[in-house]
Amino acid sequence: MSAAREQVLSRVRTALGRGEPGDAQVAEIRARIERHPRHIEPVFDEPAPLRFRQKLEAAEASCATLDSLAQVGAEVERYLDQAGVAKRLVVSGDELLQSIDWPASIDVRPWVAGSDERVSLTSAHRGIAETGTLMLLSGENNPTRLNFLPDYHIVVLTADQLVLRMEDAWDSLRSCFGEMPRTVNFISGPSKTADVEQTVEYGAHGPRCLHVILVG
Amino acid sequence: MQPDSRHFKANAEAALREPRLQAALKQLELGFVAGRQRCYEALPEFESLRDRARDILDHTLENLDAYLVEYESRVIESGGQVHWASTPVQAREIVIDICRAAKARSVIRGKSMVGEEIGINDALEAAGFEVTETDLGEYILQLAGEPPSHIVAPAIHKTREEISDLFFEHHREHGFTQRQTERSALVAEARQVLREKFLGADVGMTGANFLIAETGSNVIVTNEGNGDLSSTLPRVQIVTAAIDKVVPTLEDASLLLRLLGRSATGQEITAYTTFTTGPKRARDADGPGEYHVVLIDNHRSEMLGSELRPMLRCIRCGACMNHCPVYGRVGGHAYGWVYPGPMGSVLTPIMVGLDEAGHLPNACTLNGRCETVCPVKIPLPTLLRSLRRRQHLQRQNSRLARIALSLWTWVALRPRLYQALTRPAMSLLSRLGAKSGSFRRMLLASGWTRVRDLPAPQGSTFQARWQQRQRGRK
Amino acid sequence: MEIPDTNSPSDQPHVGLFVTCLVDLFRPSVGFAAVELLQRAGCRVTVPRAQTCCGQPAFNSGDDWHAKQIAMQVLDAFEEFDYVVGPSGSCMGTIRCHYPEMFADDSRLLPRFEALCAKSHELVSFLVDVRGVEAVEASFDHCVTYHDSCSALRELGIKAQPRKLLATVAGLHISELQGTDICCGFGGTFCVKYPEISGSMVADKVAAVAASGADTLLSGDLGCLLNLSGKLRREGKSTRVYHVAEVLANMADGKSIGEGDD
Repeated sequence: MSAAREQVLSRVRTALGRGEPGDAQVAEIRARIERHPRHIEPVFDEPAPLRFRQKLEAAEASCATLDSLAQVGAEVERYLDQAGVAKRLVVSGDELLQSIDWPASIDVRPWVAGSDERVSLTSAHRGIAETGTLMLLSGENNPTRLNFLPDYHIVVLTADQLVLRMEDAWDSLRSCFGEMPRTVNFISGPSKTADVEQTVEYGAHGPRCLHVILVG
Repeated sequence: MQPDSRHFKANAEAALREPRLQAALKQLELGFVAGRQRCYEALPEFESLRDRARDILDHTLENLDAYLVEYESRVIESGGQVHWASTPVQAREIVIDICRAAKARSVIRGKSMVGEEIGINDALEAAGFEVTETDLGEYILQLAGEPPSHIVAPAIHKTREEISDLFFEHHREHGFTQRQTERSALVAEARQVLREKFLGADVGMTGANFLIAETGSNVIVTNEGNGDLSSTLPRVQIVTAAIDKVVPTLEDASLLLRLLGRSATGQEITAYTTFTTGPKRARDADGPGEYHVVLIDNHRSEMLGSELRPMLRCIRCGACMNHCPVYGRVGGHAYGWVYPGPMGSVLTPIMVGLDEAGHLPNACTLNGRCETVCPVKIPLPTLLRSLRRRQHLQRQNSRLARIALSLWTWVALRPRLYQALTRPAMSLLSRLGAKSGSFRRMLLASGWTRVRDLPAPQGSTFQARWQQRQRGRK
Repeated sequence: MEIPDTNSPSDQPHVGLFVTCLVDLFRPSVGFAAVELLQRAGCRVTVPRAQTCCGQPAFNSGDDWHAKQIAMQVLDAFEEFDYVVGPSGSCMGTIRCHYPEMFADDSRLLPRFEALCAKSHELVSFLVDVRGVEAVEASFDHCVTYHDSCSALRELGIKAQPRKLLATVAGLHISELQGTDICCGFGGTFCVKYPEISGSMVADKVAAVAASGADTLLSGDLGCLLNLSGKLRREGKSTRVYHVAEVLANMADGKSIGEGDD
């Protein structure tokens, strides 16, 4: 459909009262992209971990703060007990999660295609304090489906992964990876809908419950 | 969908007589409007964010061709394909060709207004594909065979009882024989039915809240997670997006996201905001093998070159309709096409024609509440007035209104004549109305007196009494 | 320079009163109240005879040509005054916000319209913001509620000014309306083109007036007031309806809008 491409672009150019963008214009917009200037960023006073937790809880996610990774196993067990679900867990292949010592009572399996995905455990690339948001990236060890198919999604995050704002998360992404991962999920609470009578119900399509374990 | 905007007035009057719709619309002020207000008060930067958003989008529109080409290059670099469509017909053909080439059978859709705009569901079904809407509201409407009535909350007009009936009727074939009446049970049942659809679909279609020129990403904002499942599970993803969705950078999108959720539903951020870039990478654990973007013009380039350009800043938050007293009375269906409320009253006449949608720019009191809440500062009343100007110039407005207006202005431009005519007329009316103080009926003013009395004038005109007083003084 | 219609010292600012067509035709007492308030605020007042309408009906109907003709008539009649003041947010909004817009491409007339715009004010905001009026001498022993007209509120940013002056009226108590930023359904020709929608809007507003518990409804725009009064009468309500200027000038002793002899 390159004819349509030329037609659309030429109509846009006619509307803008000019022809193809000149070199200077292209250089200018590329420079703006290269600079990717930050804009107005809301100010908040609370310390990042507190803000992160408050915002998550306001969005009906639950949050636990632990001192060390060694406590994660017990916390997951406590959470599953409290939720009253079978202690079966699909864990993403993220490096951080491989060092967790699991209690024998939990059936922990690495994700493979076709896993039972009722409860998942993943890490996140960053946590964003401003909005209580998790940033999860797709990749070899991180199937995106684990963020959406389970009823319960548990996310482990270390305190040094917290940033203040989405813009900081972008900076981190740019410095850690040369390119955008296929999928960047910003998750700020369990799945919900207000399509029945403008009243919120949780667990529309994605997880009914989101539990965040902040370590350190 | 076939536009029905020419029957706005009759449709609106029918809507006013529909008690369930009226009850649902009353919720808007308590829900979305109050929610936005809470967000507004909690964020001192709100006004400066609006200004900056406007500036970013104006800059993007001023360089739209260059940003579209940048965006296209990034999509191709990430392994995706970009298709261009001037018209809805072209867009539909492109989508159907992709589905055929992929030997697809079933298509799932995440909510997309541009998908509604190009009528993609009917076209896909006519071409033999099974299409399932996955946004709960859109799904309800698909079962009901109705178009959305709100761009953010499409099934806002549907009551729980109606949804209950629809699910009972349509979910039997999926093994649900119990009629559910609780909200949570209805949501859970739809989740189960749609989960099967997600897992079995060949193609996932979504819209885009934004396209990022920097990275070639499309952005989807949802609370349900349906857009994410649609872009993750099927083997082919198709994104339909209008050309005005492109923004330069991730930071630009971040700023707009701060305004979008707050303005739409009173959320600082929605549950899910997802940036998708190209198909599954070689080493990725999951994701679609094909990623297509269909870039759709459909009269936007025409708006770009006219005084309506600011309309292309629209980020589809729905705040204008949530705050519109007319929308709040008549609901979305009365507008007769995909986009209702103030933004729809600008877009519909352009997309389906001013002759079809001539009512829409006029069915507005120009009270300006929409403009004050628009996160990107679109001067909606000014744009609606522009469309009225076009109607006036093309003589598309009612003949009676033209004659009445011409007569008024002709007299108004002759102050002596005006005063000579109005003084006796008002004196007469005043005497006729003195007893009751207002008229229940008035010749030539039935539009007024159908719903309210016409207060009688006090007596002679001010000018007459003032001149009398001045003469007495001298 | 036109000779002032009111006798006052010549060092006072000279105000041209833009009466507005609705006040001229339906409620002359608002014009007299405006003159009274302006004089008390130390202004000389003249009412130019060559005025009729601000052109808003034509402008809002897309008939720019006629709207501009009327705007030029207003310019000619009012250009010479120190200030142009009118008892309406809607008409003064047209002069302030839309005249310069209409003549944006006319380099000859635009500066004149911009100058006109800069000295044009809605009455109550003029009293408070320009003349620094802090209080009025008036009494009104009623519980009132105040309807903000959309043009006053959004085009001119008028909200605090009328409330500030009303608070100084002896005996007056304000009970605020719920949803005071929502249109009453007047909207100029809208109310006759779409009577059912307009009727539904004004019905809600009238219900809010009842819920406020006030016995009197005030506003600064006669269009809204005629609409609201008409609906109140149609529903058989006895709420009294006045223009805010009538109360501030202590001239709200006659029949209220839409009130009969009975």
